[in-house]
Amino acid sequence: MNILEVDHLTLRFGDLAAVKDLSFEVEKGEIFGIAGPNGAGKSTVFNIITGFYHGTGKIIFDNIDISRLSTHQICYKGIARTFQIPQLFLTLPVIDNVRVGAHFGVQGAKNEKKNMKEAISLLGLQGRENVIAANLNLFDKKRTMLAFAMATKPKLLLIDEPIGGLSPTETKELMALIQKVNKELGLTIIIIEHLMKVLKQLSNRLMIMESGTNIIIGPPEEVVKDEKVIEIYLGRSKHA
Amino acid sequence: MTSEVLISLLISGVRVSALYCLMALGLTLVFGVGKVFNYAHGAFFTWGAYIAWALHNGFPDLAYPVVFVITIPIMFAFGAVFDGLIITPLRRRPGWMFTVFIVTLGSALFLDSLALVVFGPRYKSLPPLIEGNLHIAGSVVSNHDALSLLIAVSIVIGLGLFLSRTMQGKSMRAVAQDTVGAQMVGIPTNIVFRYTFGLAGALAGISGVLLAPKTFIFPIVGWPILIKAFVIVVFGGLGSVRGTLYAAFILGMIEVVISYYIGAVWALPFFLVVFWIALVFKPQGLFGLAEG
Amino acid sequence: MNINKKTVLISLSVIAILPLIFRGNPYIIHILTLALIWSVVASAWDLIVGYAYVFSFGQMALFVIGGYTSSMMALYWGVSPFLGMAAGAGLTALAGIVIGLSCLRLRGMYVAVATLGLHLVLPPLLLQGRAYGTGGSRGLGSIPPIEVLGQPLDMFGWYYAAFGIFLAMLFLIDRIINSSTGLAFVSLRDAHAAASSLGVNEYRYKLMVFGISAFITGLMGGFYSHYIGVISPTILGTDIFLMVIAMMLFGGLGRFPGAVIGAFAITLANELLRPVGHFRHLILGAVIVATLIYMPQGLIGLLESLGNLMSRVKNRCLNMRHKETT
Repeated sequence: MNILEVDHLTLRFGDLAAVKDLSFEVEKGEIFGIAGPNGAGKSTVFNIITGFYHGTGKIIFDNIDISRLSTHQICYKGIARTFQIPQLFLTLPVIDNVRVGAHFGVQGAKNEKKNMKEAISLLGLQGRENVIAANLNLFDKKRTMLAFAMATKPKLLLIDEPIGGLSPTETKELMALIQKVNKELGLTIIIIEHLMKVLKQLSNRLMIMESGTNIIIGPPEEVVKDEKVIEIYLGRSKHA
Repeated sequence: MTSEVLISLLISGVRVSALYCLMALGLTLVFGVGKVFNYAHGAFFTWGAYIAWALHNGFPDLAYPVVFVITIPIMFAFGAVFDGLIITPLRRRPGWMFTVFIVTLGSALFLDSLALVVFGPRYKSLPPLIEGNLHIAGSVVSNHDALSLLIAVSIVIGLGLFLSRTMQGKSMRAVAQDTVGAQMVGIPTNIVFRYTFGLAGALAGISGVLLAPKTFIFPIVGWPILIKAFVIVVFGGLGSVRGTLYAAFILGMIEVVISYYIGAVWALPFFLVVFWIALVFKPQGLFGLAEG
Repeated sequence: MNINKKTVLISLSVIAILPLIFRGNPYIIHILTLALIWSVVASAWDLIVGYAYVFSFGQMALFVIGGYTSSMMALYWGVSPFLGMAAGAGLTALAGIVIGLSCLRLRGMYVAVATLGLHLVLPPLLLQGRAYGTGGSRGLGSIPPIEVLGQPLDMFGWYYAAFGIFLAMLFLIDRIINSSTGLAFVSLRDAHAAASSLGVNEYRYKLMVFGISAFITGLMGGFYSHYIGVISPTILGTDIFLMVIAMMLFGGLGRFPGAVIGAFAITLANELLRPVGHFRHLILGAVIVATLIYMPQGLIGLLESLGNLMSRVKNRCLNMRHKETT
């Protein structure tokens, strides 16, 4: 069953087509990876899905057309996201960061305290609730971002390049967290990453983008062997 | 409308526009290059006029046009020092745009008060650059006005050439487009900021000397002009020189027509209404660059 | 910023008994009354600029709208000042929301430019509005004062009336800051993209903060006009505008109740410097620039840093003593 369908999505900035006639589907419960060279339009796709930009084409989430909705409305429908460059409420402590998600993200903030506690323990942030976000290290910042996204009780989570700047141990931990969240909560995840190794391990299916369109979608083992993909990543010298 | 009235309005319009243009260009350059909205720009105007007055009164033997010419580098230095001392040091801080905004406002108050303290509250007058009148196509234009127009137009053209042909001008445009990129190719951005501000100071000072003979000089004389320059710059597009030019002429012409038919006192409100409408419907202005 | 309750109660009690201490000196009581009024205006301004980071510079314009509305209603329609003030506040809130609507899609400095435009538009409009009863450049005079039981308030009455409104409005602002609305403002301020993605409706909260701060400011404008008895476009002068901004900055932007401290400090300083004549504005301009450069977090920020410094020193001493004993 498809939880998300993107249909012929196009977004232009002036003459530049950031996303060009892009279509793909994401199945409920899977981890769907997106990779591709810089400028391929990956983050833009996230921005369009979450309503920061509006392009032409259709986006259907959980059988609802969300193409024209605004960002906060899309949050109510059940989509949450993280940001490549950590966006946090730096003047607030961790607990209030998570509170934002728990209070505003769920319609009728009845279970606010419960959702906050769950998100914090899920991400292993207990004991750090009162640290001001500006004083957190990178790993904790990323975890806090995930925590507040999770506090909105989403059905679909978009994770944008989470590994950047982390040590190998932290990377392992984060990957384990992502897998846990997917398996235990049945949360569908779309993840953008540069590190192929990470995507191969995490994703059920992988989509490679280039210049705003998708080149191929499939299970990671097949995708990385595809000729076109190798060309994109390693250049055309192979056939020189 | 008789042809005499038409010509007279046209001439006034062009003259008024050209002078507003000078003032507005200073603002636009500082915003485009330095990313600063300089509320003290009006104070530059005021001080330009006062300095010319002080020189003229202090050295009565100096021919007035000479005074005018001397005022220009003084005002250039004024602007450059203002940037060096106050504005650029604050750039290092996060959220500096907001801080600088208020600092320029505070400086405007400071400079206005300083003028009051130093020169006193009595109105001063500046003589026109040259006495006498011209007769063109049935209407009378003062020599001073004609000369002002000539000077203003030459400066605008000169500025255009400066920006497109000289190294310094091109550096300014580079910094306006991408401050970090400009630094990376070795352009000394701090120096560029400095002389952009200096240029703005000089432009405002020139406007002050050219416009002052028509009104009097008093400590807050710079504000109405600043407001109009402000509107022109936003209407034309913050940071766009071309936009400022077009906006100055459109708005200047309309002001002259409104003054003639309804009354000069409605000029400022008209400007402000235009400003508001522009901001609400097209915040980037006519040729504007991206939003805030 | 969490000031503990004891400090708050003590400060409020001190403010409450001040007029009794100075009862022989109507001038001082007058200054203190003004300080109370400006405290509220500065705090409302701090709410929108410091907490919500919406750079609205039309607050004095809103103050004037509230003031003129209440005065004109009292002068021309005989409306009681209580009703007039309430109506003024309501109308101003509406104006605030309209301005907010026009600024919804504007970011950062553009809001500043737009709202400052309102501030600049008003004097010429007021001047031209003489035909409509605005009193032109001289403004309105002989504005009916607030009366209780048929008697106009005396200086104590005005002070305590101001104090009452001060308490009510500051309580309101405090409640807002510490509620989910306050959280929304801060989240939009710190990371608006993240906030939106978490369900915070940016437009709604922007309008709310415009409306609330406008309401409070308009109310104070009305009170001010009945208190002083005169209102004119001079209130829109750069000097008063910057004075109120200085109050916010000096106390600490976004650090309630810094604006209150700033208001008292600046109002007092302003009066003390009156003999110096126009040097006053010189100093004000210099103070603003200096505060921004050297004390950007305001007085409260300074106290916070001092507090942090002291606790770190205390820890260091404790650690050293610990080391010595082991």
